[in-house]
Amino acid sequence: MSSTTITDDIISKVAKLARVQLTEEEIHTFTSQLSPVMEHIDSLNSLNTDAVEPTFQVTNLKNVFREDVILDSLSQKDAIAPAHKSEQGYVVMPKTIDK
Amino acid sequence: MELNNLTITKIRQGLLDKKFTAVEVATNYLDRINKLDQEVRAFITVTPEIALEQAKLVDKKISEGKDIGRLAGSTVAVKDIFLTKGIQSTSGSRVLEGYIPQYSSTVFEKVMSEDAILIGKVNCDPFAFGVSTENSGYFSTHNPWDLSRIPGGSSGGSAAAVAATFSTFALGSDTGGSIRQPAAMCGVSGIKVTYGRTSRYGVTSMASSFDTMGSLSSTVEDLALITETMAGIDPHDATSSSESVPAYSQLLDKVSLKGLKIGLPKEYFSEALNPEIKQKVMEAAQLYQKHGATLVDISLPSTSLGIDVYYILVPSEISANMSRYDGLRFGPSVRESKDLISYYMENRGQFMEPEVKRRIIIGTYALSSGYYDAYYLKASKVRTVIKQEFQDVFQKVDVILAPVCPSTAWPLGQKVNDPLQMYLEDVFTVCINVAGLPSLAVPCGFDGQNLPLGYQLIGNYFTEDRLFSIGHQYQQLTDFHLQKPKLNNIK
Repeated sequence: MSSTTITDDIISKVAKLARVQLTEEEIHTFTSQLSPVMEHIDSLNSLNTDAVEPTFQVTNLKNVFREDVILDSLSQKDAIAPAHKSEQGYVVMPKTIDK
Repeated sequence: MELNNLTITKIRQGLLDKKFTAVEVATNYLDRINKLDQEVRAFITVTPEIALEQAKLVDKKISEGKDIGRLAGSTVAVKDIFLTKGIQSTSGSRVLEGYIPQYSSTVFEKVMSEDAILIGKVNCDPFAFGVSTENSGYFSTHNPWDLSRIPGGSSGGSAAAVAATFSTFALGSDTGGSIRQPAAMCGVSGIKVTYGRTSRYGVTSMASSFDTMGSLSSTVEDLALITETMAGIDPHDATSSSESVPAYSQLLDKVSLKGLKIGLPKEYFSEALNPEIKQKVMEAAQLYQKHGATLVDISLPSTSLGIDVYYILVPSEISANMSRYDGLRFGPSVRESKDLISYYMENRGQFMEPEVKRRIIIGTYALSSGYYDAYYLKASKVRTVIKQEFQDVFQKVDVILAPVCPSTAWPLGQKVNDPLQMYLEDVFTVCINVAGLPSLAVPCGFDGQNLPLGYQLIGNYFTEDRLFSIGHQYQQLTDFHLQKPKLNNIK
């Protein structure tokens, strides 16, 4: 299977999915820069992998469990300290729901 | 005595023998940074107050006859993707400009607990995305061997700081070559450990199934000692390994070169490789042969697909990791947005560097509906093939010797507008990360323009002890690692 040709529309749509605002100029630049990258990546299809299992973890580590115990953690004050806007111990964010 | 040219062991011994103090060592490095870093530009933040305060504590311990740590008095330059409590940690990106973390990365804490001295935070490509340090949101770092050239990347600041002797050693991270490649280009030694050998906790995530934390220094002996302190299981990182940590620095003579089978993979000596590098790397192999090792021709047939696997899987993991960044809990902020979605889009759009956006877009595209099987799943299967090829080869040889990069440091600006060309520079390093193996970069000479170059020793999982031993013995026979750039002529 070969990839779809990268177009401005695709870059624009993917950027929206990824929540990254791009300027028109950035869209054009990325389209021209990423087309050859995706074409290069198509060489993966030169290898038949029908009988191969995928690898997601390289050292064969299985699930790691631990007891659910309460340990020391950051105080509320420290946790929100780097936020640019906070109020009464909470991070202030833009309005999400209109009534 | 030149205090900026000593190994970790010699600094520690010098302190114990009262030949010099930790404050003198730190002051010596700080003076050098003050005088010369305006040209090299390795540091985003220099930390003189902290360095001197820590040095005084070491001197106090000695004067009181107390035990001192294994890294006592040696300075460390820390890549800015490692969080350091109370000290700005930018990750090389404007996204985290002014960010003061509330906690430190585990490996940084481990190094500090052995009485190392923090000299500063060093430049890198943003979130470690790059091979030249030119993607940094702040400035480009210059190669100390030729200031008009790149230092390599993404740990370019780390490698430049060690090469320029601004610090005894440096911390770096390696996801696709980011320690080994700048180490080779700056003529220093660097270790990429087995995946899981060191904790990733408190280091900004790039690609979570690839990222490894390591170090750069002048000698392999130093790296053995540093790795010994950094490695080990961490309850904060479930993927860190419970495998016991050998006393690497005590095992430097462990491997006998006599009868050692060194594999030379033909794919790494292809026409893509600069002939001068090929010659120098072969000379290194022949030196091992002269001391009793056997050179074995091997093949890793899927090597050329490593780049393709890497540039699907890594951006996919990047897009997942970067999607967690909301610009609300930390990081700079755009003034006003009409709603939350606009805020995310505008904030991320404004502060992320172009390479950050590019990788998020590649990854989001590869993972988007309808493409998962063709890209992510396919690449994960080829990952299995690459891993298996290494396993097959390690049935025949003890270690693999190969060049680190196809070329020496190129001029700043030469490839910045061509991401594909940049990505292809990773050809000899990425497969090691795809498989999760350890690899040690060792300097082995200079090209016709006096630019350093190196080879890497690739081992099977958790065989760092063997790599250090084999690399150390090479450095006992050669002096490439002792040569330093002549920076004092800078005006």
